[in-house]
Amino acid sequence: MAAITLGVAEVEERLRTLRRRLNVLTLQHGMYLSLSAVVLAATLLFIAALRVSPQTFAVAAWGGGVVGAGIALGGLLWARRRWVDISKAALLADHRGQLADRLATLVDLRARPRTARLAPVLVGQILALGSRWQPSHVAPRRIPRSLYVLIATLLCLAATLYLARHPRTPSAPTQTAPATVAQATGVHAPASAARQGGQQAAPSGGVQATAPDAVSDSGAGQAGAPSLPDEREGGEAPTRSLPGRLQQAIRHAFNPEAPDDTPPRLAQSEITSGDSGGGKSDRDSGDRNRGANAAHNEHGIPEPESGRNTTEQTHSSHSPFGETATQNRDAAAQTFQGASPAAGSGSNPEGLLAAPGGGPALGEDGPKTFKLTITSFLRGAEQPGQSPARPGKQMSAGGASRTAPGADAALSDRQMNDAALRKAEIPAEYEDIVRRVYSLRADQ
Amino acid sequence: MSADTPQRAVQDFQRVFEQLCEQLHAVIVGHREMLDNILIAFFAGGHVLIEGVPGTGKTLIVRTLAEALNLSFSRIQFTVDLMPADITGTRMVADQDGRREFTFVPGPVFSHVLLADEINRATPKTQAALLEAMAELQVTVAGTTYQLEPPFFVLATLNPIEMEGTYPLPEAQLDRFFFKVVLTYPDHGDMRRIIGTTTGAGLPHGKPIFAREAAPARVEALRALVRDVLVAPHLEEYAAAVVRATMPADSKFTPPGATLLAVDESVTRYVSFGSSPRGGQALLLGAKVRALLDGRVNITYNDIDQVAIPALNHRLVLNFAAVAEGIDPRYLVERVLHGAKRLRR
Repeated sequence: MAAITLGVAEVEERLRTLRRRLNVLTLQHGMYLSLSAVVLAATLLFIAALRVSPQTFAVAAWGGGVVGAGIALGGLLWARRRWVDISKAALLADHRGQLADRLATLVDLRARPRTARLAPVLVGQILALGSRWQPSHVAPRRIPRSLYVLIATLLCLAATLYLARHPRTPSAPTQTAPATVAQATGVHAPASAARQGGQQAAPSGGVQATAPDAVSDSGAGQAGAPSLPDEREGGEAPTRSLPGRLQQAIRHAFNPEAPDDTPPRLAQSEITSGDSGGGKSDRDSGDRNRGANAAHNEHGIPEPESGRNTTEQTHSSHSPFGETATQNRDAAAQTFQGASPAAGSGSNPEGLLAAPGGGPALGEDGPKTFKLTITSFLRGAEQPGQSPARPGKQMSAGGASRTAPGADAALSDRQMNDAALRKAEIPAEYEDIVRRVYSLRADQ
Repeated sequence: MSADTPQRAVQDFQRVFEQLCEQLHAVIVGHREMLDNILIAFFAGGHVLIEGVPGTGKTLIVRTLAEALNLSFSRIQFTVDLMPADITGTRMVADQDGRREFTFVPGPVFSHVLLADEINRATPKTQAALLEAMAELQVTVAGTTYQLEPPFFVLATLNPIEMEGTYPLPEAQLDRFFFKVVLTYPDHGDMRRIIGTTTGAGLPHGKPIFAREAAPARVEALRALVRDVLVAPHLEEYAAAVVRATMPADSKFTPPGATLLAVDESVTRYVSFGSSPRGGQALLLGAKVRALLDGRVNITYNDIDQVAIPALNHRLVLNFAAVAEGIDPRYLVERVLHGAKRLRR
């Protein structure tokens, strides 16, 4: 009888080992899957925090929270359902070890003690078949395959963080300028240039606010967007809510210098930002520009990137503005060919500026804005019976304009006569951009 | 040759069964599965109903089994005018020491192995005389109860051809048979062997494997061993679910409540009454014998499935639609077993 008891104890001990092994495996599996879901959700939230508006992010964050809670609860229920007790472990061992329900029968015999003359035979048979139901045979894996899922999601998260921290620098940043300024000033730049700029800007973390694709989904984070002032003035809720704070925290984590509600990608800004404080006058000028741009928006004209970002770029210390301006001027010189639109003096783009030669003089001590004296094409509009020369027209070398088909639809008369366009003080960093745009031919 | 340890008892059971099979197959040609089922029912303590055409060796099987086990054997040819006393025995006036007294003369039921040939030819009253003997191992004559000596094994035959003037067995009596097996005509090879071996000079006979005195005790010991076979709870659930699934869903005798196994549509359509709990008992006991034959002391799903058809097919009472469409109850049991596969864990 002692031998039987010993045999049963041995069987039970092995079953306990098997049960422990199976449960650990179940726990690992559930944990890895839950963690994978959490990491995946975090990755998506990071991306959402950097790309979408606060409102969208709030929806995504709460939705992600609910889904995460559901996943956690589901994981608990799943683990509970998969939790293995001794009888289940016996059934599993019977099945995988082809023991013909011997273990389940013995476990039931122990649970419901009764007279069983054949129990010793059963124990003996189970022990004789011991090699079939070794725990390592029944549950060969110590680590579930779901670990690979977790690793994959962690790699995704790491890649996301890396790309967010190290945005890919556009190979030809100056090529985005035409599209940028075309958007800003309402000049129809070639669509290919705009698309190119968008394609280059988007992967880099969206810094190129000039790209239409990138700007379109930036929502309130878009500089000069109509919703931004509203959010600042009265719409504090998105930023004070939990998702808003989370989004700001994420954005600050990736760009400590960025303003609270501006996505870091909007600022290409890691290149030029350095003085996040800015000056009051700068902020004022930015606000004025925004106001002017808002006026333009009423007429459906896309507005230039302005606001604090532009003023901060002016005060950049990490990347001196002079260098950027020089690069832009070089690019402008490369793209400047022949006749320019009816701006400046003939084909000389220098005439665009109120202060000739302001570009080279720009520096830390230089003027912060320049006066846009785009009066030559407006002058034509003042002459009765003549439509003003405007961007979008193909200009001959002698300055005679030839209206391109559909060019009239570009700017209405009201827009053309908008005083804000003529009177606005445009930040100095736009000098090169504006100069290049007005030196572009319509077919470029 | 008793088995003093459980392991040796199991081995002894296997050996006895093999020897019986050898003896039976030495006399009976073919019908291997049917013979196995008869032996399973015998060791499970049940009775067997054989349905078969004449001349297929039904009587020979029972006689050979009795000879091999060295047990007493009786045969009753059931006819319309057969009376219950012809089965159970009767009290007769006998002269004892100058006094005349009623003395009980045992009928053919007082034997170990009883062949009730063409049982459906007797009247229900006579058929019912077997009920008490089969179920209770006792008979009551003139108010006196007489115990039958175990082991008691009834093997009844049904002739499905000549149905005129027959009395189909009532369901209550059918339910008392552990198994019902169908004896078919032998195939060509078996037919050739049958006519070859039975037309020679010496007819084959089974050799007893037990001594006459020890045979009843040995058989009872083996039957007790069968009941010691262990059953896991999930297999009890499985057997109960199979039996429950033979009950039509719309019958007023079907118990309410959820079932582990959904009732098959064909069962509801063709079955008037499903199996009784005796069907479940037959499932488990038959499965236990199967397990012992396999050297195991516990049953499995396959053991239950293998005995399900002989254990349940005669317990399903089919309705008129089934009779009209020629539905075989074995087909319905197979449908039930097919649906029960999803219960396996």
